[in-house]
Amino acid sequence: MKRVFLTLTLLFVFVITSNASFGQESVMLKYNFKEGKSFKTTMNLTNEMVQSMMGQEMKATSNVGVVSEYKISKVDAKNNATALVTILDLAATTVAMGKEDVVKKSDFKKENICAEYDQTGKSISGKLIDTTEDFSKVGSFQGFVKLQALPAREVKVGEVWNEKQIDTVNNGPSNPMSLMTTAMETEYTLVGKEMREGKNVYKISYKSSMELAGKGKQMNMDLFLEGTGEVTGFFYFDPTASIVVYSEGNTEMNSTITVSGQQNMSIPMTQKVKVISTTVEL
Amino acid sequence: MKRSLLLVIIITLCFSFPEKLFSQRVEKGERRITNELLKEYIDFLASDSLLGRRAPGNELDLAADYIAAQFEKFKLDKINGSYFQTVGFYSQNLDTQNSFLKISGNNTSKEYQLKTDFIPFEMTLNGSVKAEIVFAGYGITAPEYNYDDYNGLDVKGKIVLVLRHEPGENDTTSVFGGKNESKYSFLATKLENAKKHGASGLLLVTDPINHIMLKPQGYPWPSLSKLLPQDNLPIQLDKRDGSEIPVAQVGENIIKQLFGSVDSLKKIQITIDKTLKPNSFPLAGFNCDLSTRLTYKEYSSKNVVGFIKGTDEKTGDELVVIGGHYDHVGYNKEHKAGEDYIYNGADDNASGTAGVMAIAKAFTSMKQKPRRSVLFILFTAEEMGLYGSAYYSNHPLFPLDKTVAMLNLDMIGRNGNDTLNIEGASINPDLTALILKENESVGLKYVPSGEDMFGRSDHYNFFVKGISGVDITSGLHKDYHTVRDNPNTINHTKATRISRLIFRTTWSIANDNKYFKILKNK
Repeated sequence: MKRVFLTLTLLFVFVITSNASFGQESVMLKYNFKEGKSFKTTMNLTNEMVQSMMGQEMKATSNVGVVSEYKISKVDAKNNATALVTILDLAATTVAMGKEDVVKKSDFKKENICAEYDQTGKSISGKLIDTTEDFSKVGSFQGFVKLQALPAREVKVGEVWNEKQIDTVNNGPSNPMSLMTTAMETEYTLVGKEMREGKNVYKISYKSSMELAGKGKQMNMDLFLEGTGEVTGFFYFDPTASIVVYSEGNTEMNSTITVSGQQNMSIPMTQKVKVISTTVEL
Repeated sequence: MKRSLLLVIIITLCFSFPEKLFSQRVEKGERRITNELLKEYIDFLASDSLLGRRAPGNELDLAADYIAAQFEKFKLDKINGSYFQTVGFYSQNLDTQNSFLKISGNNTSKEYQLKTDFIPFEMTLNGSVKAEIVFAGYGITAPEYNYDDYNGLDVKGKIVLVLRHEPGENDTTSVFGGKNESKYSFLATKLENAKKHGASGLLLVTDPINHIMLKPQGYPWPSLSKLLPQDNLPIQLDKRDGSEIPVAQVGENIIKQLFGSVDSLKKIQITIDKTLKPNSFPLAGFNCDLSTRLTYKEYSSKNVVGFIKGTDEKTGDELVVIGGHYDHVGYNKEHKAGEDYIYNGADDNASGTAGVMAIAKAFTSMKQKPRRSVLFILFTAEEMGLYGSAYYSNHPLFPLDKTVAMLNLDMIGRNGNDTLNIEGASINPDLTALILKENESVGLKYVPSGEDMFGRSDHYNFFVKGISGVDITSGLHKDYHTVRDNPNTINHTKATRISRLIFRTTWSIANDNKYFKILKNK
């Protein structure tokens, strides 16, 4: 049971990582990647998860820190960019049922993931380069290469725009939740221009509602996931570098994992997740 | 001098003879427990024909009948005329057609949507209530913190609306649990408190200060879901006691009707959190009509029991329990042709079941009957959450205050010839010391464990009732809960040695008047 709890914690960490981060007077809000440029992103995620059963509750907290480097290796005629992503440092701590589990890793080989983005930050393709068993333990790689979504057009200060996004991620048979679908509706507002660390940046706030559905198998039991959530947050867009330099998001989610097979159980969960991410041009 | 030497010899013989005789008797009984006997039992219980012995189920019932037939052959006594103790289970689903929430007041009447606006709680009554609504803060009565949301509030026959969580949820200086939450945060605690104060229904709402998501949070009723399987509902042990009341978690729209806005409720919550003084009041003029209807499926299974009455006048009604679970996790309904799909559970726990049966046979083969009574019990539904032993400990066939010890055998046939694990050793020091003393004759190599598994088998339900209980096991292995846990992987010599050890230990407890302390706080 404890093992299932921990697996689910890590699974959710990556689900949230991949979905809590979002897309930014008048300003052109789009990524403008240049070949040969590199960026370093530091992401910190805290997650509080409460599983409840018959009115009793069990709490787990986790903290995940990831430092990664993006090297733009190619930009095509459509301005789609290919980035080679290296996970420089990974640290995850989970505390559940009075026990602490710590994973630390800083010696992955270079260039773990190859990802292609359009100017909105949407990932067009993603490929795992590092197929070592060592890296496979990290889990779903999509969570590491997700960028904030930008509308790729001129936006005026005070303007509000909406985005609908449905992502289906096939995590492969080794992941307990092999197929995950996330549907999000997000309302963005360009709040205005601010000075941040000596640079003019634009602040964009957002509010999303999301629905999650997933299917998978573990220990020959069928797993089903169903959930709803709400996300609030903001991020800063640096128009000079054409990147998002800082983002902060809070997510709350209600979800259920249902296990069916050798054992039948439904585990309702509530989650509070905070993600802070900082990016600098190298 | 010669005479005194003779006297010493006579006295020595007088004292050593019964001990030697006792030892010979034990060894005679012990010899009844053989590799062949264990193999015979395990091979049947873990055969493909029993399809993995999932509870509840026909194949598991066949296993129960087999064990009972052996008990009869051993001439163990029945209890209340039977070798079975019936254990009832149920699964429940929400009857969406007949569950509703209507709130009227202040010239408005609204009927709310299931799932979007309200979700009945899993511990709700299968029934309905129509009453006035009273707001009772967090619904907490905590005398140790001089805090009572119900102080001076009349909620008898009324529906109480309470906030989830507790004051100062994220405050590390909170008198309650702060970030770690205390028991007062649990919905079960809030429900019990509402019932204790005479409420006839309960509505729970997410506290808006610390949470952005105000949708009703509740039990994932399969009937409210398009995704979750409808035919494979979680099975629960019957814990309904007739004291249930209708309970539902409600969302933002209900807050708006009752308080005018979410901000109004936030202000109330802020005041409570800041002053730690309750702010409870009747929601004057509002009436609620709440119906939470459930559909049930009933199931049953059996614990298998056999008994030897103790012969001693003083201690004959005291009881030693020796047991283990005989169920396992079943089989994969969806599988490819030619693929192994049966979880035979040879080690988990045909081995422990066979051990208990073999020990029962050894006991009944003894001419001398034990001074204390001995109960042999094979539990159903351990794999579902220790349900069989939970049922026994709540519906004991013999008084629990007369039960001196519980020895549980769970997975005793793997990991080499000579290792022995005792789960619960550190909190059952006396019982463990006795097992290790008896082990001097058996010679197994004791491997102290980290106690991580203590709560994961049936001895635990005895321990929580104050009875010294340990699990004797040969430990986990790579085939645990896989289709590879087959009879051909069992080390019968190991299972036999562990069974002999537990026979010796049980025999010793049953013929002595020792009691065993437990360390509950450790």
